[in-house]
Amino acid sequence: MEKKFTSLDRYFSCKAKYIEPDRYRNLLTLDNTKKYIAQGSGISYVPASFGRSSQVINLRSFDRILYFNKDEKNIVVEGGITIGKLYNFLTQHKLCLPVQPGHPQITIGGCIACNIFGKNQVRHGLFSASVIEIQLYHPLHGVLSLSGDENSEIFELTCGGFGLTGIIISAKLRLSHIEGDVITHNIKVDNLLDTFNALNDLRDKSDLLYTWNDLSTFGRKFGRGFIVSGNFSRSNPALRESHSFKELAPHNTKLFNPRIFNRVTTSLLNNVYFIQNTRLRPNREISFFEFSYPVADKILYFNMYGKKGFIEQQILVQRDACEEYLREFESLVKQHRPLVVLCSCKAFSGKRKLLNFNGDGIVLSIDVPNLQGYKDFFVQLDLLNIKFSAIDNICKDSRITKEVVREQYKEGYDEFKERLHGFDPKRLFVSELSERLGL
Amino acid sequence: MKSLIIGASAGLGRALSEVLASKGHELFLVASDARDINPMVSDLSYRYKTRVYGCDLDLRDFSPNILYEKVHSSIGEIDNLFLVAGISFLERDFAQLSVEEIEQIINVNFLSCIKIVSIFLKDLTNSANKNCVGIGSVAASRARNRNTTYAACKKGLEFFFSGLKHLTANTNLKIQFYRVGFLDTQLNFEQKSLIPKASPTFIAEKLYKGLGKDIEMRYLPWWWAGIMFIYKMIPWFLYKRIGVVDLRS
Repeated sequence: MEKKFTSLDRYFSCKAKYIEPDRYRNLLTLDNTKKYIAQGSGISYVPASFGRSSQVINLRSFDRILYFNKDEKNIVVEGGITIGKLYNFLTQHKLCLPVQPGHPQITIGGCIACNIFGKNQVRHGLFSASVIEIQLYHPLHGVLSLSGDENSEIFELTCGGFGLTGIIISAKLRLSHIEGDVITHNIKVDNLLDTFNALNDLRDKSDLLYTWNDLSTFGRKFGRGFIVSGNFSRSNPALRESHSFKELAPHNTKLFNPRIFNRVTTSLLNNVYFIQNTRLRPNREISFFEFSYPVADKILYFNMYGKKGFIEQQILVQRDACEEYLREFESLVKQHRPLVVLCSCKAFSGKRKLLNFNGDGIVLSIDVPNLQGYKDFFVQLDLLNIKFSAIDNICKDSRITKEVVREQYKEGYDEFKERLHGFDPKRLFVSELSERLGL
Repeated sequence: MKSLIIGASAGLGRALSEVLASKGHELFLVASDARDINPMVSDLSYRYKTRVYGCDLDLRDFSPNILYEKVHSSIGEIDNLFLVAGISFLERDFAQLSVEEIEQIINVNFLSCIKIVSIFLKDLTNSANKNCVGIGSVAASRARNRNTTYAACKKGLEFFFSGLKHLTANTNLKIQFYRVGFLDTQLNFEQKSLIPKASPTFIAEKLYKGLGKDIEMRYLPWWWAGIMFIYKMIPWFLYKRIGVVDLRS
């Protein structure tokens, strides 16, 4: 069966062959001469779960809990289980995954393949820190057990390997206690530099820490925003067991979907959002679900970019280069004046390995409509990132080229590619992303 | 309630297992592959906190006595028997099927069901509130030149259920038989149809709601009754021109 696929940012679409096995005998008997790519919910920002030359293997039927130990706080689940399904089960036991993505529809296989980061990367690191063991299927190798002790090189390659090492059949995950709802305080900031400094001050003190900045207004107000600093209300774990949410469906494009974001609407919406969060409700209590999945009820946001979608850049700037980077970033934005609809920052801590999005510094994320006129801005931004040894999140940017990734990730890129080709000389697992990056 | 589901690992059987577990039924699940049934058992037990057991069984060749013993030694006497398992080779029939494949279709869709009903009949008739549910197919509504062996088995099963209903008329056993239309499952994955495919969960909910009732034959989803009424009304001189197969090819 052939099906049309679109990345969440709508930057890329293509048709690909598609199967949806529902039994292990269909999943574990793949022909080792064809190209494949595994797909969970298929809602990655980038075309990581499909490709023109690959057969998409959807894993939605492999979504079961295989083992659970409440006392030891670990669980074994199939790769296709969604974070939302897992959330509904774990909250009954007052447990959760330490690192969670922004939307409950994302699968465990997707979290591992992109090695995602959560709400507090400084405290919990990347998703791989919660992965104890993986069962991986590859037509050339059969089913392999991967962990820190067994096939550790493949384990490392699979966590953040964009699904290129094979199909994640199941994973054993470490869990942590839920401490309750979250009380947030919004702290007003005047510009991006203040934001970066405040993030560095608060990074070890908050359970939840991110910022919202307005880059749609130039002049005095450029970069103003607020820092959302939250802590668990340890006395009040008012957990609801299950939640509903709207599903993301990037592959079902609407016939009529005009772009709502323009200079006027964005500026207006940002002003309203700023006032709402700094004056009307600067302090509030949010549920653990809302804390975990901030994107769950923001489906409309993605549609407001219209048919052509948007480009997201998530840039990790090294801590010691922040000030200088910001100065040049601001002048670049002011010079090219792209319509930055969303800008958000997070503190980061860790050591980069292979193609993982990790390091010590601040992550700056921007969402910009996908317009032809902004091409030059992104080229200049790539050069700026290379100049300051900043890295772009490969799982968020559908546009980034092989050359730029190579320059940014340097030996990480070469080592990843070398190890991947060593493990899979036939390179059976291929996606649009891997082809674009020459992997 | 204690329910035995034959063909529980995928499609309608899997959805039915989920629905029954969510309603608190104790389950014994049967499917052909342990790799599929074991994850079902663990998942449903953990999520619904109910007793779930299972075993792998090749319906092409099995001993009903061994199945009976396994079920009895785990959940005991059953209240509901669901016969969901099915197999078909959609694109091939008659001479295109090997003798082994024909046997496979007959054994899985027809013979195994009769064997299982016969062995569990004593359990099902000895007290009140028990159900025996058979799953047929809209393909059995009117014979045609495709999928005929499968449809014949389903028609045979329907006939068997009618007999069963007659046999158990003076007992408390309730018999339900459904002709199910296209489902959104792996079996029909590549099938293109103007008629929408029903969600297995939707059908499973209907099967659950039907428990406790006597249903000789009902179409699921209901609109198939209208479609099949019209289909059966097509006169032979027109019908014979539909989907003509060249026997020489």
